[in-house]
Amino acid sequence: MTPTRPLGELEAAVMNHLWSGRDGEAKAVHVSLGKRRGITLNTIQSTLKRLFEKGLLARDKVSHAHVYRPRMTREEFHRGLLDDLVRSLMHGQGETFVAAFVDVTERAGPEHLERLEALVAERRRSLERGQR
Amino acid sequence: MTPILNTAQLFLLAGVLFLAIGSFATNLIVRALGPRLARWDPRARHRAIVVVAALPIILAAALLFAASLPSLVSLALPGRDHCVVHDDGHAHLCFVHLPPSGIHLGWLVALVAVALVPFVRGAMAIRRVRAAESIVAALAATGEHHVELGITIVESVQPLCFTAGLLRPRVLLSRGLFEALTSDERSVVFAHELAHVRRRDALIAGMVHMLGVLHTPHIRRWLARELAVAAEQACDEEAATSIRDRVAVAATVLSVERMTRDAGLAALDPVAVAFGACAVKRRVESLLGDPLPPHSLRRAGFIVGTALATVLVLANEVHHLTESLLSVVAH
Repeated sequence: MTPTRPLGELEAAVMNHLWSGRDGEAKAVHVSLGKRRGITLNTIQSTLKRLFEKGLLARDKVSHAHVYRPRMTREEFHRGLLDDLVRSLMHGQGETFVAAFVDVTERAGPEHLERLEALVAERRRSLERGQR
Repeated sequence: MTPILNTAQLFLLAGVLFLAIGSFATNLIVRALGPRLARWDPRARHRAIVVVAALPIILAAALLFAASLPSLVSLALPGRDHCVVHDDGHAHLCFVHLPPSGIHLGWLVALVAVALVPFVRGAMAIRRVRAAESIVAALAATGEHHVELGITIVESVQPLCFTAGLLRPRVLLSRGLFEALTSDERSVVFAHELAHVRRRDALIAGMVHMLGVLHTPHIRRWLARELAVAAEQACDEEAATSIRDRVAVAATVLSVERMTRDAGLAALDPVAVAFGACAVKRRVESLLGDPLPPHSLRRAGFIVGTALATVLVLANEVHHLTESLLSVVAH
């Protein structure tokens, strides 16, 4: 499994800021995120540059400053990460790391599923009859 | 080689031999008693499987301690020397009269090679887990947090729900599944996943996975599979207790299974062939029946305790037998 887009805490906060449709200029991001966290404008600028280099952000030069915007939606980003995770489950590498509600790597056959659903319905009916 | 290194070599070889004996004994125990475990309630079964995974180490540690005991007593009480003769070419597990020679070089190379396998496997497993941790951390940091529910919703139409992370387990639920579930089904799914978080199932599974290196491939697969099923069933039981409706939990398991299937994840089917019954089938059938009564591990603990005590009582015999064995195989 190769994580293509792992994010640090600040990088995630910057991506959330930009996905919410707010201004992508470094100063605006600093006002929104940096001041509260006691982070300098330089740190925000290098975080934006790092995300640009990772391919997660695009940028346009407006006047003398870069204005950043996400290159993919939050859903596209999550889909890529989930694909990586599910692929790792398929290769049996992540099974000890993840406890899925229904194990996606181990499926009940259709005939089993129908039989089990019939059993559940039957059990429900018998419980309802017992309550009357 | 110095006498201390010679002693270390002998103990290393004895340790590996004892681990092999422990692994063989565990194999026999699983084959004899494995089917009986299916009748235990899932919480007790889960604990028992963890003990079985650690059994080779427990047995090897007990045997190594027993083999060292006469020598330790001699060290503590100089008047009570357990060795009758010393420089007889026999392998001596003795801290008082350190052996003049170690084991054969071929054995030493083989031992290092054998010891390297778990280290390499462990390092690779840690690398993969760290990579997976970073993916989950990225999903959690950019998802929609529901602090009151203890879950994070990730933006995906794929119906997925899982608890991930060894030290900081997190419940991640896809938007697709969140919207497809009814309110009652959500309650079941949240209760089930939060039970995984409380029980630290991923961490325990990780430890058992690491201990798997001490077992044969057949037992390793059995441990991984039965541990996963027991954990799922234990969480199903906790969800059933929480919402007070076992049938609703069974119905939700089937509902999520069907959604996952209908969403095109059927492409995963080729890897679905596993030995034993399917986990969904076992979970649902168990939920439709009456809950199994809690099974006390006291009896199993008594048997293991008696076996360990017997090994210690027979410390002298274990000591001499180990020396003879070492003399035959490596001296």
